[in-house]
Amino acid sequence: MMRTLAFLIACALPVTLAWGQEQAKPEAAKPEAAATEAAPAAAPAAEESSPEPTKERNFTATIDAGARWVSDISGDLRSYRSVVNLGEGPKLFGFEAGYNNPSAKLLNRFSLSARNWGGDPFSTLHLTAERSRWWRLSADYRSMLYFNFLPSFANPRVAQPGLATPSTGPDLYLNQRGYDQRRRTSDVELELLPGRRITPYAGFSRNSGDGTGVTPFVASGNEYPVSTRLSDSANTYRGGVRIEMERFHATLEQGGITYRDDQSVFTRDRNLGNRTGAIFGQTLYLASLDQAYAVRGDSLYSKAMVTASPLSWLHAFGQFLYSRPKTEVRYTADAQGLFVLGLSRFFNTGRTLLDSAANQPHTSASGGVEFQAGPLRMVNTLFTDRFHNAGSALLAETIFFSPTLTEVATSFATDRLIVNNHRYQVDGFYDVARRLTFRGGYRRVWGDAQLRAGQVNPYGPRELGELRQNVGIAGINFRPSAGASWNAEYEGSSAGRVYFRTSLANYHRLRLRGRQPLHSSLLLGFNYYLMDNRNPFASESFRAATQWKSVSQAASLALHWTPKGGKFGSLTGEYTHSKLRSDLQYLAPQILSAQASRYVEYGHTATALLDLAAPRNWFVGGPRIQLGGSFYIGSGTRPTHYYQPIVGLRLPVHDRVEWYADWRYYGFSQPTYLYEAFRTHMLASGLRIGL
Amino acid sequence: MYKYLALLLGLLAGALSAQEPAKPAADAAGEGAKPTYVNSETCQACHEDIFQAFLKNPHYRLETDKKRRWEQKACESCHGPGSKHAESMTAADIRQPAKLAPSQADKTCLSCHRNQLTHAGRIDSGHARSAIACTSCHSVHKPAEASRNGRHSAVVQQCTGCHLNALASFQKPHAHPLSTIPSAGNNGMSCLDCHNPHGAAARANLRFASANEPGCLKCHSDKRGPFAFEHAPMRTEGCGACHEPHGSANPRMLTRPQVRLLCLECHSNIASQPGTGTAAGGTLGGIPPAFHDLRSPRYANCTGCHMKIHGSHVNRSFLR
Repeated sequence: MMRTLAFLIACALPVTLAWGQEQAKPEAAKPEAAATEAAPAAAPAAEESSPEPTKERNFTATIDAGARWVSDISGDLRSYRSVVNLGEGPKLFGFEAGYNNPSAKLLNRFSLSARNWGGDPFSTLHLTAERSRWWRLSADYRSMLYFNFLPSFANPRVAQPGLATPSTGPDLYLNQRGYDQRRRTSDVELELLPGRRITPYAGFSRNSGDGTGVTPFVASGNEYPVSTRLSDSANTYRGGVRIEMERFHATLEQGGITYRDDQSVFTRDRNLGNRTGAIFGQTLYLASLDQAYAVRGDSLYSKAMVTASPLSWLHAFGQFLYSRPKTEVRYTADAQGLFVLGLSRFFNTGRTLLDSAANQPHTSASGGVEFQAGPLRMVNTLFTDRFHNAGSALLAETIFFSPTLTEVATSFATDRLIVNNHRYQVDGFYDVARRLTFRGGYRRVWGDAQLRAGQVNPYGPRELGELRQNVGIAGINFRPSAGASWNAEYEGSSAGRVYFRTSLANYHRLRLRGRQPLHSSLLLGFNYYLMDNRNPFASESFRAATQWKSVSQAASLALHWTPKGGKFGSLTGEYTHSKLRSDLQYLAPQILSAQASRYVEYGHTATALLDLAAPRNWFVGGPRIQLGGSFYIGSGTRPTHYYQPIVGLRLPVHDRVEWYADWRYYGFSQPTYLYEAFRTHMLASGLRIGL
Repeated sequence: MYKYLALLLGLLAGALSAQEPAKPAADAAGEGAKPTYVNSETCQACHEDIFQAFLKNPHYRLETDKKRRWEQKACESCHGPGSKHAESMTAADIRQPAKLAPSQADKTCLSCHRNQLTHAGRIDSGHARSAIACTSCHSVHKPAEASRNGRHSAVVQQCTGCHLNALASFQKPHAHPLSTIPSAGNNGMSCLDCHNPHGAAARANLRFASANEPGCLKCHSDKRGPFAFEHAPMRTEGCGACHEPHGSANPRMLTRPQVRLLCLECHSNIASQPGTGTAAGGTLGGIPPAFHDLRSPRYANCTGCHMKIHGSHVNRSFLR
């Protein structure tokens, strides 16, 4: 009741203020009216003189503060938090401050912006300050709330809530991975002597996360969902110098990263896990668990970039990137309960101690040359990437079959992943006319990957993968008039080799994209996308059954209408119809028979916003109304309906004060998984004050 | 597909017929005496409003920047010598980068901007290849702050004006929080957080994190590794092997609604060449052992056991 009352007051107050302001205006308006009446006589003089220059203020600021109300959420709250996660209460929706004075001595430019503060899931703060040609400081901070707990994450078709363990709730059986975290990223960079020949710079960035989650503890014969604490951070330090000459530029940067990741589980709750049946009359359970990962890592990296234009028709660039991240890990686990080793060796306590390390030198380089001869432009680029991961783990495991009978096992495991990738591309562009450009090109991608095969692979310890791809490229760009652009691109790849069955192999890709003004106030945009991909078979024995075909299409149409130069508002709308059909046969591991994995998605998506502006003399203050929103209606394998209509009202209550209110509805439903649906109404209202 | 093609061909034919006759490039320079440089004050005399806005544009520093050698000629640094235009006052007598062929417009901008950090990969960018000129996105005269305010939603609107498919994907329920519809509190990420529109060595102009690590790790640093036991596709194919970063109807932005299908589409290879481990099709991803009985709910979600699927420090099968 109080909430409704507060809402009504919040809505009524600005309208009253605006009305009051309007009522008080006639006295002040009279001189304006008199000036307007006298205007015809003065008009010829005004036509002769040049237009009065726009006065720019050095300092501007806008504060946008208010509150949000969220109606009772119908349906699944966890789904709402996983998808939307907007809360209610007072909010600082936005704050902008800018200072720009090119002639000032100490500070020429300054800007500060903050958005979505007050418990929103995505809050940002950005600062830039600059003294021209002396220094420039930029800082960015973001805070993100990451909640994800969707019951259908695993496989909703076999939902059997009754199978869950008492300690973890009915839905955990199918989704034993959940997160409730806050992630923060920050970045600060200081440049000295920006815009001069030599510009040194230094920066620091940090990404960190803290929170809780749900994770399975995997023991032999059973898995136990347990709650976990998560905490990780990565700090990056960097410094470098930019050298900028007339026809040459070089940037050299050296950086380092320190990294930690601590995950821990502590539980004393009895947990029956996922296995519902008994083994030899014994029911497995977890009585207590202490588990901890302590990951520490660091990396040094180097970057070098060069661009050069030695001749007016010749341009070149090159990059060299090198990083060498490494980690060292201490893992401990102490689990008590009833577990089974093999088929019948039961034990009560298992303790694990593991030390592991990984080292990952990674070198990348790219370079390109561009020639231009009249209407012809040729671009050659080469990219090469070598990646090598070497890991090792020393494991000591103690199993207590009884207080006096223990078994200790130690093992040492190594792993290696080697990837070499290369890409060469040549493109030619020919300006047939000022408004028409043809493009043709060729891309070759090649490489190899070596990795350890699965534990039960009977054919050898390593798997070898090859990448061989030849791609032909063609395109046309047509610009029929000012502001109009039509672009078509085609890529086709011949039979080659790819690393994975779902990679792009034998494919055809067509993209049509354009913008066409139909009128001075009406702009039309369109897109068409087609991807047709066919992939290798899985085995000689299953050649016919295991080939894959995937076709993806999307057609979009958009328009932007601003009649009378936007005086009365505008209309922006976009509609996309998409189709995705993937047919792949996979082999069921237990019986080695071909099964179908068919994924079909037909989607209708629309986004629109109608902005209606009433002239000031029609109604108090000259309000603006916004109507629109978006929807996604998908059918196929996972039918989904997601609606987000929006209605907004903007009402100026003073020269620099505007009251606004936004109503928004979120409606999410999936006919196959009704238990995940939610819907809610949201109202945000506040004042936007310009200083 | 054919109906769309027919529609587009029809539109193309209509636009071709409406096209004004192409003017020779020499027209812009005009005939007769070669135009010479006047200075910015001459331009200001007629284009006062543009000049006032330009005062607070970063390009204005050319007026005083000795390094660039365009002192007093900031306007003409892009528009070319203006003497003829100053006399005739006709638009045909001055260079207008926004109306040039993209390669020519870019040449004007890149004569100064080519040697910049953010443009190092421009030659290799999809925008350059698709003849998208600098002026398609950048407004050269406006004060810098005019484009900074509301930057995220403004950038998103700019990008999605052409990338309509991406805009549609972000309307799906499981998506990165992008400011697609401006409203109170609806300001999230922008396209620039992941992509560098000027070009990058990675495909789709994706940014790198820390030299050459995948750009996704900038925010998802808990997935960075290196892991003692790596899951190869995360390194060879990137996050897009399993996730739709723009948005998906499936939880966690996965490309498939059921995790087991997502995994088994790759993990279905039987090695046909003993000793090499390589499948006949040459692809990686061996088939799981036979005890994975897919009829049992316990095996419905592979990540129920293989929980460290992005890579593990402890277990080769990603169990811990």
